[in-house]
Amino acid sequence: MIMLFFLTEVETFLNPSLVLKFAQELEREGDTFRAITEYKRYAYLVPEKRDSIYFHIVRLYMQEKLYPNALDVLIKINRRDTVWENLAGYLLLKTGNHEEAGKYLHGKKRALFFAYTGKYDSLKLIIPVEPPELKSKLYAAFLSTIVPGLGRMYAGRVGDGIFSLLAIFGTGMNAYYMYEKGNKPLFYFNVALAAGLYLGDIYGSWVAAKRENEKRKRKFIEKVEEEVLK
Amino acid sequence: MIFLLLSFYEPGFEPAVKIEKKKEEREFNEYRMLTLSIIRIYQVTLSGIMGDVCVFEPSCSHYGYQSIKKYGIFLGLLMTFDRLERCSPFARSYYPDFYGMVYVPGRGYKLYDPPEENLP
Repeated sequence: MIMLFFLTEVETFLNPSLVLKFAQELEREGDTFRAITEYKRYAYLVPEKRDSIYFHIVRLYMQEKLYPNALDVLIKINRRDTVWENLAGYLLLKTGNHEEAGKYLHGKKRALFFAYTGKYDSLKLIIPVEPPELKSKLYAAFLSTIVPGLGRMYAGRVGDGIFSLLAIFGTGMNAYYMYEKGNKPLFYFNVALAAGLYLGDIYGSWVAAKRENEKRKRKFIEKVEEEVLK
Repeated sequence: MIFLLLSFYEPGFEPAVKIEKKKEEREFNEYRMLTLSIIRIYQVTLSGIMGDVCVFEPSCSHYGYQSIKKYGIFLGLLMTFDRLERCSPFARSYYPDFYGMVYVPGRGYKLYDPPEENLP
């Protein structure tokens, strides 16, 4: 009975216009992944519209930030024009293949390649944007060597800097107090702790500057993307 | 017998995939073992008494353990001291720019800060 039902209704299930309508309905509901499956079904049923449907699937994957999946679908598209190349370049950038992306991006979109690879001089020729001001890791570490916590403050983490200063100063004072009291084991323990915290602070300043730079670069890329893709 | 042994001999034969032990497994470092043991003893004894005071995930002692185990005693200790200085009430103010938020069953919402993100 069930078999008979399927045999009679199979044409309804595989009706391309119904499949497309269903896919659009799923997309409207926000069920992106099921919508993608239905769009793929439609592309299979109507091969002549495959390219345009695949472009739409690529956009849906991009919407969900699934860039490798988007790239996989993009490769299957036969139409290789500037739009395709720019999209391929953008997706390659997003998946980490920066050098490869440079071959595909054209015109204003090439600014993205320069932003990702840090070639700010070339970027300026396309878009008039100021490159991000980066913190010097070496200078941050040097500042922490002179005054504990200062390097972290320079890297933009004032709270961490104050806490580090207090921690190192506190253990140092404790060591001195133990020395005055003649408690040698605790004196050595506090000296070791203070030295460890001091070295850790220098290391932390370096890392803080590095992570601050990463954040600034990320925000700069977002700004360039906004400018280019608007 | 000799013929049989020679039949198994293949000059220049090497397995397709070499199974190499990791450096950390190969080398036994007594200082690292001592430091890791101290951290473990702390986790079993004092940590339970002090309660859940760390704002991060992994907690400072787990972070120290992982970083010393992965990156050796020198870098691991530097990373641990750095983390101890960052574990303060100020840490939450750096969310979401520097740390992500993660839900840890039994500990609630914590700032996600694995050792891999704090390499030089």
